[in-house]
Amino acid sequence: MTCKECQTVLEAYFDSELTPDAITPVAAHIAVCDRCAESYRRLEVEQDFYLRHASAPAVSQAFWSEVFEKGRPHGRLAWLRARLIRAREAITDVRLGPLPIAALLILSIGITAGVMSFLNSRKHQPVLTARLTEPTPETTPVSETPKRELPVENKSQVPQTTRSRPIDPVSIAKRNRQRPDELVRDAERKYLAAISLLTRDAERRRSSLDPEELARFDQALAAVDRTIAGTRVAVRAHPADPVAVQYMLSAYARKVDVLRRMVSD
Amino acid sequence: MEPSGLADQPERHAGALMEVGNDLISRARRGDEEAFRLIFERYTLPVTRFIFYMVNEGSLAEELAQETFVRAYRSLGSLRDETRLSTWLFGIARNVARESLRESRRDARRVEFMHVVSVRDTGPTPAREFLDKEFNDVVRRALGTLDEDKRLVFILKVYEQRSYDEISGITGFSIPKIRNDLHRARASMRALLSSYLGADDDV
Repeated sequence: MTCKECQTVLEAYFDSELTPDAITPVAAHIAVCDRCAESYRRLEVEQDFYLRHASAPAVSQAFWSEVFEKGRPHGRLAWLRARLIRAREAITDVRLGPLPIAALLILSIGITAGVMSFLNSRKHQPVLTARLTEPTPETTPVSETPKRELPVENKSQVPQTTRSRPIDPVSIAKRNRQRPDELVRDAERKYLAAISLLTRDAERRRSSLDPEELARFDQALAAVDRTIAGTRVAVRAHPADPVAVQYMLSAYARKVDVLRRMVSD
Repeated sequence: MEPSGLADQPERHAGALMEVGNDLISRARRGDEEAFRLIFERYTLPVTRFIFYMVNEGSLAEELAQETFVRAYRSLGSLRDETRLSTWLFGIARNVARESLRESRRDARRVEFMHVVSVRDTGPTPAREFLDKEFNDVVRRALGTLDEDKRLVFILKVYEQRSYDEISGITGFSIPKIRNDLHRARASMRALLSSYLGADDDV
């Protein structure tokens, strides 16, 4: 190796960036060449000088608390978005088997479909109300019932055939009077009742559980409780949002599942 | 027979550590501040020092270092490869420093006299302490004369001891550019500090 070749790669050699094959000739040349050895020593002296005289401003005691203060989302919308993202990630971290997951998915899809169909049915409420004010078919034989033009907004929604069974107007009105948020609260009340019963049973079983297993259950419960808290806030703020409702009810269902496993294990 | 702990089973120990690390990362991604701090607190001084040398201003360096960690906290979800966490963090720090320099169009040669902490033990004698502080300032001034790219590469190589690959990951520069900029940065610093390099050893 010549001095010119050595000088070309000397800094890379000093920086430990050469391949093992390239290191050997450089090391051999430095061992016998005073000029290149002096160049290498100069790099060492400079490096040592820079490191000895490195300086940095002292950070304040409040450095990290200020980082988190600045890092937290501000504004209601950003806060809700952050809570939903965390809730979604927390839900995916709770470990459940495939069957419980499938059951929960079917349940949450069913609830969502029920809420959405209820919302859609409210659009056609004038149809039902109008039909209820007309003379009931049971008092009039089907063959003698004249065809009437019903005062409805959207005639295409009206079935052409007359009913043969009596209508129960009370239950229909009752169903129609229940708003989506009332439906959600009803479902939530049922879950809370189940959770209350299961929690009582789980508390009784705590002392008989293996400590490691108990710790896992506690961890899962803590995670799902955080999820429930976050999704409840989101649903209160946006009660008609089916995604938020779905997350909240799924979280309740997961808590029921965890408690059930605690009780049955 | 003595019970064997994790220390006797290095593979399990490494696996357990990785599991703890993965768990911390997962928690930090979900906004767990304690987990985030546990992972990132050890980078406080390196990031602050890096930014300090880039912008050459102490009070601003702390503010920009905080901004770096704030951005990391908010965007941890975008980190794809957790093994390159420090490269990702320094990439953010580099962007923060660069934005600050461009916004203020700060003259990097301007020196601010502030309270700085020398990383090295200054030794017992007053003469040593005085000279150390003087040399610290001289090095900082000399760094300030380098253009942004060379200063960036020099700081990452000399102070942060990063490999060329890691510097490339942080800066986006190619390896030939890194080698070239580093060589020129060293030559510039050598030219400015030649008289100090010999004097330091004489005290």
